[in-house]
Amino acid sequence: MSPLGPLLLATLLFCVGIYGVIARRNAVLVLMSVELMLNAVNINLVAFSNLLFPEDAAVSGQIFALFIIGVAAAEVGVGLAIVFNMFRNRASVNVDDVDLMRW
Amino acid sequence: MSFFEQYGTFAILVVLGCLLYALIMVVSRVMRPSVPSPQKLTTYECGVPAEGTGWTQVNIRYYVFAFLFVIFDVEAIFLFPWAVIVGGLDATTPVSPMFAVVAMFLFIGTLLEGLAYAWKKGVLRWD
Amino acid sequence: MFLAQATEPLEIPEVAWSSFAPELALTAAALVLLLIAIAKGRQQLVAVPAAVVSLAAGIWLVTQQLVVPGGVAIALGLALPALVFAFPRRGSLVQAWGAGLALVGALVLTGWQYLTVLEGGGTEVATIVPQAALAGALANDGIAFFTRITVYLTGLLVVPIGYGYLQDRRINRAEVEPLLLLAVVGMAALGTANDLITLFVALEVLSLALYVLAGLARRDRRSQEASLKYFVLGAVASAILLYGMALTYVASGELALPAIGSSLGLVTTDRVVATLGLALITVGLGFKVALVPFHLWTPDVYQGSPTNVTAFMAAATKAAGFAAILRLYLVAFPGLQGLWVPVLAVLAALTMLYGAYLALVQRDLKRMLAYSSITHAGYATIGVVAVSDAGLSGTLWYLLTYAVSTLGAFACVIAIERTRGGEVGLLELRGLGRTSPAIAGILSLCLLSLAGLPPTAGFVGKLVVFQAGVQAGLTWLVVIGVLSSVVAAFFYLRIAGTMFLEDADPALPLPAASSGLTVGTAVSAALVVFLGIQPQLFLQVADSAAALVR
Repeated sequence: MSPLGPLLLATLLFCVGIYGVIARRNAVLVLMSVELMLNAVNINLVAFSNLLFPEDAAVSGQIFALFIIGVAAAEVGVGLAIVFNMFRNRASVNVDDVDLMRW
Repeated sequence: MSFFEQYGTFAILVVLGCLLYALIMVVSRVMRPSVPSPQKLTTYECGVPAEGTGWTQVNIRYYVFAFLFVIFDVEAIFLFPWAVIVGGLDATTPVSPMFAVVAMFLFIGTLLEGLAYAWKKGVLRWD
Repeated sequence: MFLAQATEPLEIPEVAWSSFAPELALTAAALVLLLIAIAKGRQQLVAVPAAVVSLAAGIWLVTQQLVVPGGVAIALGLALPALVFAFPRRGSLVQAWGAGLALVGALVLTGWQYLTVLEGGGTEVATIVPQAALAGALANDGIAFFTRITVYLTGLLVVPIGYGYLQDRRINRAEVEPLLLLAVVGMAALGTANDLITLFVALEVLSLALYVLAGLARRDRRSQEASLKYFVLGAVASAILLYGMALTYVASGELALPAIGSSLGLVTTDRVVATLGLALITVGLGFKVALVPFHLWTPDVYQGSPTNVTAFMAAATKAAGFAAILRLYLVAFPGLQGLWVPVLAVLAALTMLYGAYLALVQRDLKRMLAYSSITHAGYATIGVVAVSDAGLSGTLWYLLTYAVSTLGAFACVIAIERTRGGEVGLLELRGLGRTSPAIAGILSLCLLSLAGLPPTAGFVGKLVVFQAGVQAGLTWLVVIGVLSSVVAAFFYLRIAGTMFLEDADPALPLPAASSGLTVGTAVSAALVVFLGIQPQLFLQVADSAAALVR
């Protein structure tokens, strides 16, 4: 299998994630975009660990992916707590409303 | 060979299920009287007329529960690599089986402390 | 089929507990403190069993000839029920004292580690023998030790400094100290991390704790805003950093930093992919330490967060972030030196100039200190791009001096903020030198140190870093650094002038310090002076810290 496919898919997912973070107003959707980016990394790690380094007995790339999954869950948990707290105070999850401090 | 024997049975079951379903639908279509009316096309809502669209925003509070679940659920991925190697441990390996078990219980204990914290904070209550 | 594969004999690494003993102690302390927090009325039910476990572990360690760690475990075990007994209705005092004692214990353990890996003695300068532990996942070398010292010291000072402030704002929740300890653990681990997985996990541990700490004042919209901005931008930066790490893995097939370094040195390695990875890693880490094109979050987050959290973020996160940068670039990417040295040098120049320029026009003291922290990230980068032992030890030393100076400055801001509430602008500082000379004096001292004027720690820090830069042939960068210092000195001195030369507004209440704040501020100020007058002791440690696991 050519490594081009996973690489393209991961790049696409990553770019969609970045676009989502920049363009989306809804904080929950921003969080989901961040998740997309992290999963793009996971695809890279798992696919290339399998395709390029099959002789690596420790499957280090795939182990890394496991850690990313675990940490991503914690990150979304914290992120949602922050968004939820903001929602309780101003009944909005729009990230553009967050503009008290500017220079 | 055993692959095709096992999954062949399953495939036949799936095909038979589809056929049975098609048969029942065809029989009912043939036997029932057909009296269409606009009333019958509306969404069923306990006798009350349907209102609004199907697209509503879910209350953000559901996410707290959902993600409390997801966090603890996802940590289970660390159990699988552990489960793979814990059977192969014995006195000759640098890590003893007892050590591995204690380490995993420490990990689970840490997670449980998080859950206890959430519980004490009243996150698990809905009001 | 897959199951059959998995039962092959696996290599299980030896666990060298002593290599991460301080972090272990702090994690245990954080967990116990959190348990005590949720036990509310029945704290002894938690404290006594935890103390028994700790005592048993300590005695066992002592019988194993490990006297120092055993002693720390016994001391902490005895202290816990005593604290709970001494402050029965004061949960936050138990938390603060517990966290402080745990940090002292961690400092003792760090000193013990340092002594066990020293080589030589007597009159000659001792050098650190770098050690890899946990199958190379951790590196106990100079960066690790110095980062530990800086971070633990910062944590130890932030606890008393913030105690009274948190009470005033009614945000003295029980989670503060455990979160602080976890952030400290993440930072220390970041200084120790020797493979990409450890590096990433450590970075996330410290970031997640700081996201929550930044939003500690839940009802305060500024605090919410700070934590949301920090979180969204921090999460994106983490993702970009991860993508860079993944590409590095694709190029080299390795996750351990020394192995990446040797793999990228080979001719056969794909340079394009490695370069892409390097670029993304630079963006991600540059964000974490606030180098200029990636600094946009810093002023808002520093201004909005509770001030003690800001102090901690400014002082400790920078030390940890630069530890990661130093190790990554010097150990994993020496093969691509021709690429990253010019890029980082330009980033450093931009950072120094832009930070100093924007700090000039700020009216809010916290925001000004935020821009000043951006400027200081630029100075510290000079040591990185020098790519020499002198540069390495210079950066480590610079971060220590910066940490104590900025802690002292923020402690004074807290003292002023406690009675006047809200933001501390330049106008509120007028005449402070006449009404409360102690606080104005210490604030001026810390600002002078940040500006890098002679009798203070900041002067020695800048001197060491600039020397390393000149030795490495980066004279243009050092010239920019000096220029930016001159601009920076202007706005630091303007604050001192406002305090001492203008008349006070009698309507404004006087700043007030609690006992913890007094102690913390005094110790920071003393350190600023001590490190400025007697830098030899720590400079020697920093010099011997240039030994790396390669």
